[in-house]
Amino acid sequence: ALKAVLVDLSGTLHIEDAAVPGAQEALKRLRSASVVVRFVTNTTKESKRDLLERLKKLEFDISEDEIFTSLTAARSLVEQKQVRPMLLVDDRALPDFNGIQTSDPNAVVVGLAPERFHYQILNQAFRLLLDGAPLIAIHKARYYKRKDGLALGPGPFVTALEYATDIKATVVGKPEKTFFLEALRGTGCEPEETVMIGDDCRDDVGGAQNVGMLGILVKTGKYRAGDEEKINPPPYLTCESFPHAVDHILQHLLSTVCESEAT
Amino acid sequence: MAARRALKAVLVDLSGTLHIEDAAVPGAQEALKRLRSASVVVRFVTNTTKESKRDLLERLKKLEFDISEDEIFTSLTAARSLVEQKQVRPMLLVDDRALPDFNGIQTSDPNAVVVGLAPERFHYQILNQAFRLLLDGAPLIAIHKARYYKRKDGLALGPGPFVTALEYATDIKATVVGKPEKTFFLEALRGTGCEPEETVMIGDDCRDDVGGAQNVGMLGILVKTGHQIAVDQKTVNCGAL
Repeated sequence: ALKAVLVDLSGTLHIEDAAVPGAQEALKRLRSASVVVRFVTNTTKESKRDLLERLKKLEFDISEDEIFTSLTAARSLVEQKQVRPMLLVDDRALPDFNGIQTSDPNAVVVGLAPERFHYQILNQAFRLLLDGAPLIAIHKARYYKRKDGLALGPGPFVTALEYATDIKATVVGKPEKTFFLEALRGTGCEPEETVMIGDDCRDDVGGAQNVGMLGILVKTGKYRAGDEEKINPPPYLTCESFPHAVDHILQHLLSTVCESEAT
Repeated sequence: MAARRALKAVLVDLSGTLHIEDAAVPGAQEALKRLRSASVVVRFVTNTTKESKRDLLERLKKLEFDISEDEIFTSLTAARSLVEQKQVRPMLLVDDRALPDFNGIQTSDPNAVVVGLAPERFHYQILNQAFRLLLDGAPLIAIHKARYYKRKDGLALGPGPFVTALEYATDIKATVVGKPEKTFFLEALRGTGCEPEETVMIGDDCRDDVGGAQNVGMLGILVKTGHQIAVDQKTVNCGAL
């Protein structure tokens, strides 16, 4: 039986500063079913507090501990490894690392940090890695959409450091399996009891289905026609938007055992 | 292995092999004299991207090496050739000191990207400009893809990581003109009348000097000065690339 629903934020619940039409209401309906809801995102430059603020402004009823970001995942990994990270992250992401020691670093964490992506700082990171520091990538997006056009994401800079040192980064964000498993930590739910709803076929749906979740692809945000053909197996369901996904869940997935194969 | 032909040409790497920054490798000047007494063609080949041929010559003369400018073949030379062949206007991500080697090449309204070792230009804003040109279809030319190089204060990122970053971002492949590309070694022999099988390459970078040269049929001699000092044992196998 379905016990948990993971929901992507940007492109699924909202597009920049506008909510997807009907999404607030759909979320309310979803909560009326007895499922755990978690909001998952790869955003690297917004702390949980910032995300929460934006969502509340858009009248979504969400609490901070329901949000799981790739920054959260990075912090977990840093704590598990007991390392002191050099944080190549945006200033606005730093609150999510409060309490983590960063002096005399012996690890490198890379997020989206345009102001830090210059030779001198990258060189410092390079030298730490040569000394054996682990490289943790919040995610490896190649680029992202800004108001003034496309702009380099963190991926190219992670790749640069991997190339320079011949080591591989541990990527903590979507579509990594560990991201989805970590998102369920503390919920008491298994991947097989979970549905993921998102607009990025590879990173949201593909990633989730790879750990045994069902994936619902929504045609908002970065969705482009034909995306559903890019993963194998294809999405469990492709539908118009988040409200449609919620309708499907309420009508088909609550009272029966989840199907384990996409139709 | 087939019997080798007689040796006719020797390619010599510069930085790390003949000299380390502003100091000659001990005994190198004298060794070069002895090499010249044999009847071999000598060419000095380098991936240095931040020095024009004139600068290189000046430094080598100061260190009392007996070399002439037309014996020097650099990856900047190779890059300029390619830009001229393709008839493009490059955005030059190269050190200011390399610009003389591009004199006469139009660079306004660029429709190509040339990447060398340019620490001052390797920051987000400029890399983003290059990224957008590439998305518009501009070709990406890499002077070489060295992962790092030796500076006085330790190892430092080479141009390779930044070329790789742009390749990753755009899903396109750079045309690399420097070592260890085959074309670099073949271009270096142009005009000498010598074949790769009649050539030895001496250098300190296992993959770029020795591996690259052996891949076109030359013999490679790896010297333990310069770059090789800092490299792990596991990369000693230069092998096939």
